Amino acid sequence: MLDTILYYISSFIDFLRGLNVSNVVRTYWFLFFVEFPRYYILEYGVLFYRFLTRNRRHRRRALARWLLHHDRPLVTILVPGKNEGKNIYKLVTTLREQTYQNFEIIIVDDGSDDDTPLICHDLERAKYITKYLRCNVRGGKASAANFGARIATGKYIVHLDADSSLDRNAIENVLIPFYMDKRVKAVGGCVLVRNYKENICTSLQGYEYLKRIQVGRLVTSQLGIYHIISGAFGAFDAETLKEIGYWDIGPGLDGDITQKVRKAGLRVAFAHNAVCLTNVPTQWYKLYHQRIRWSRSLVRFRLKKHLDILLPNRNWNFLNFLSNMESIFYDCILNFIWWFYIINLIFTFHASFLQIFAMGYILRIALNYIGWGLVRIISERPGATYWYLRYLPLMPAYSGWFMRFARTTAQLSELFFFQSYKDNWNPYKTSRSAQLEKI
Amino acid sequence: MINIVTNKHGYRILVCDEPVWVEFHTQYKADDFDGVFINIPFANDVELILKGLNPITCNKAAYKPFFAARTLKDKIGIYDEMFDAYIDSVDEELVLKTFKELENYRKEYDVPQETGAITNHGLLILRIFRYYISRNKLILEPKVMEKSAMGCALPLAECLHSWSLFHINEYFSWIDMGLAHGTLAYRKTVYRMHVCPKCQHSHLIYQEQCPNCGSNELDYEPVIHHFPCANISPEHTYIVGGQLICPKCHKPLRHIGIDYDRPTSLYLCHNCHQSFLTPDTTARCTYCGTVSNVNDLFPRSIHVVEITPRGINDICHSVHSFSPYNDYFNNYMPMEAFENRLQLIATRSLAHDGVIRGLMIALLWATDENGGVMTRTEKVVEAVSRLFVNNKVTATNFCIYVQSTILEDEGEHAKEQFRKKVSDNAAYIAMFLQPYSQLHIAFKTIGNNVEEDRLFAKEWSLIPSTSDITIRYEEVTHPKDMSTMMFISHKLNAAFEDGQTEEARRLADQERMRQEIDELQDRPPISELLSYLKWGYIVLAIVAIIAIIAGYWFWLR
Repeated sequence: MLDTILYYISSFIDFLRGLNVSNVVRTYWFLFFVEFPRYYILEYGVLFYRFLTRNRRHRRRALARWLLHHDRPLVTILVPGKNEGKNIYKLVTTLREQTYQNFEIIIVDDGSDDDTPLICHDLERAKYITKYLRCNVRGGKASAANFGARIATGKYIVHLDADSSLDRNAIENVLIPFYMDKRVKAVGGCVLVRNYKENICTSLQGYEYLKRIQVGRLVTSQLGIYHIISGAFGAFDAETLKEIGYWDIGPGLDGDITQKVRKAGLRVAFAHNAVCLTNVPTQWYKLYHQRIRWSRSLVRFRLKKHLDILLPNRNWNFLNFLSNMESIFYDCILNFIWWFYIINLIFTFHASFLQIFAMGYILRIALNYIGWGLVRIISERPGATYWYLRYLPLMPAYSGWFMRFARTTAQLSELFFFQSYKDNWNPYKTSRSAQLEKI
Repeated sequence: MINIVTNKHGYRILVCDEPVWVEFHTQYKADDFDGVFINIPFANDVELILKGLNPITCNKAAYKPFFAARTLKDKIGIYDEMFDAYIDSVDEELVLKTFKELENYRKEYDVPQETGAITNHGLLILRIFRYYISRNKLILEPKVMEKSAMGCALPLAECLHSWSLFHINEYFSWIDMGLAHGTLAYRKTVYRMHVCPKCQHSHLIYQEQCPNCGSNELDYEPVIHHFPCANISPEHTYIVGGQLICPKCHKPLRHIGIDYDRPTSLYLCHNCHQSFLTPDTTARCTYCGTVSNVNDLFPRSIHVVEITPRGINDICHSVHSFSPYNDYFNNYMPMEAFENRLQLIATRSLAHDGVIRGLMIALLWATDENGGVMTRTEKVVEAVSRLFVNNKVTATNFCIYVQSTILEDEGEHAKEQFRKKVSDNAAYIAMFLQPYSQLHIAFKTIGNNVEEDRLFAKEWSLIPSTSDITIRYEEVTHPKDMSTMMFISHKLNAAFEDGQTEEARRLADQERMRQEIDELQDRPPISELLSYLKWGYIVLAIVAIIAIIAGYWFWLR
């Protein structure tokens, strides 16, 4: 056994000795020409730019904060959900701790069949929540959110998932971008993982959220191509929301509404310091199903419903085009290309595939450590980021294989079988109607 | 017509077939009849007759057997409780049986013959209990009754409450106090209801209000969910020319369950334009008008209670005072205790013990238009006890005493403060006055030597011939709910005493009856009616003059 391992190690060292820069670059072109520029060079570059412009940004931010507290608009916190009674109290408790307090809380119960009505009625009586709305029949998250948004009286509507909880300054921070730029009509909050220490699965997701949401969306927002406001935590200008007709049927309604805001010629921004914590799936199969659902929405909304963004004859805007193309290219097209790349590697270097594979894995681990530096710089809890260092060697497998597999499955099933319309996430009646209407 | 007949068993029965105020009919004495027979065929007249002649408030007929014509059986509702039997003739065997039974009960429990006036609500409720004892109904079970302000009460209490003879609060207080004193024993709870937190009335109007602005202008509207576009909004936003058109995607809604559904309904406030799922529910008391949140309504348990053996003794022999101020106010003292206290303080004051320097008493009494001292009522004592919560209070039948102890370091300043406090509160106490009556206040202070002290000890309780403060009825503003008699005029009180002239008694009877009937029937007093009549004459004269002129003019044509 030991001899075999030593043999492989020595052959791997021999393989490394035989490599030169040209070989490496040609072999790992996908890594060097696709992933590295996008996820490392660009992000470091943008952060460097932010560093250079920090003083101006801080001044603008301080002014916007003052304007916010001077204007003191009523904010509606909208929490649609089904069977979320047990989470509501925790959420409301964090809301009562907020530094910005001029808000109303509307809980929309989408036909819960547990104790949610009792809990919410009690909270309403105790004035912990402003309004509790209940649909006796389940209509889906979009309809529940729309119901609450119709009743909302706030100038801004903050959409929250019931199982999330907020940092003390999250509401304030998510509102500030509205006052930094009057053209901003929707702001995404930064969703991070609460249970990241629970097991390997959650820890990997925790790092993924930090890298892809907190860092990734900060960068896309800075570039003006931010394209998804998390359903778990996002703020909208109420008037704008009304104009664009509120939410459409999901799954993926958060990305859809962001597209609608962008298509209306308005700006969206990301508030990386408006932190919302949520629990992520603790089991791999649940995580897989969640990612399947998320990935299907890319095909359904970006490639089908909002295809007009990509077409030059209708609704064309360069940033919107870039935003959509970035998402489609990196999350969809390159996803398929990656499979061809791997198959090509297998066929081309079938004798030394294992060495090439190991080399690629090591390179990706090294890049992940470089990427961790980004997380460390941006995170509002830098100390907590050290936790993830031990899990970084697993990240290439997690994001490179597991996630790619989930994305590919989902996109293929959606492209050819329209599986998102069969998802239980929405009630059958609404999914069927949406399919008939080609929404 | 009213007359006394003797039946074949030798019982004298007052047979009555018209409303009569027997209490003020001098020709009928309490000993002249043993029972009463209401012999009328019409159920509607029973209430009117009972108001003047009943076994509770009418001294002459108190606790005596009451019979009603058999035709009235099951037709007189809650008044059924006041009758012991339904008969066709006074000679029936049932009459004899009833007489024997009730005689035995009255003898067994020693239920007294009533003689005095009912000067407070407590006495009235005491009589209700005595009545039940005289009927050997020791377990008292409240019933749910239509129109009952108490919601659920003893039928007899409900009868008298419906005549406005006591306030519902008083009734519940007596029941609670009876249970606390051991006069009554708890048997079981039959109802637990929610009543007005202010007056304990059970007649409440529940109303829905906007939780935002409190307005009642609410509309209830279903909400429509359009499946394809997930739009969800009130029904009116969908209605276009009688069709349902989605306001978001402008597509028609054709089939419920296929295109759309109605998952819930919403309240819309026309005042503040807010929408909400559940309105606030408030309760408005029909009696006092208090609007309270349903969560703030007072929970009141209605118990089945039993009059205990001790209670029978206390109630029948007035051992249990049922005095609200005895139970409620810490500063009220019985006269004997008050006197002892005064002596103690006087002794310490004269001994110059370094703590107590003296004492001061304020005497409050009222006089009627003839200068006669009026009898004070429980309500006035209650009010004084409440107003002078830091002073000891006691009362005789005619006068109320408020005491203030002067401490060593206070001196004249404390006396002045007490005078001011009494004169300030006098305006409130004077609200209890009746027309033409006056409230008097006098102050007495202990002297500085033994002689003066002896004089004080002898005379402190006597009403002086002059007062330090006098307030006339006309000088005070009377709130509407203070219309109950609080000081009873000496003249009316004397109607129950012997030794007055026949003429005075007759006049007093008439006046009393008129006032009582006016109060019971909730109509304005006769003087007010006469003033209306005067205007009627004037109007009649004007009409007559116009008619004459018109007739003359027509005749000329």
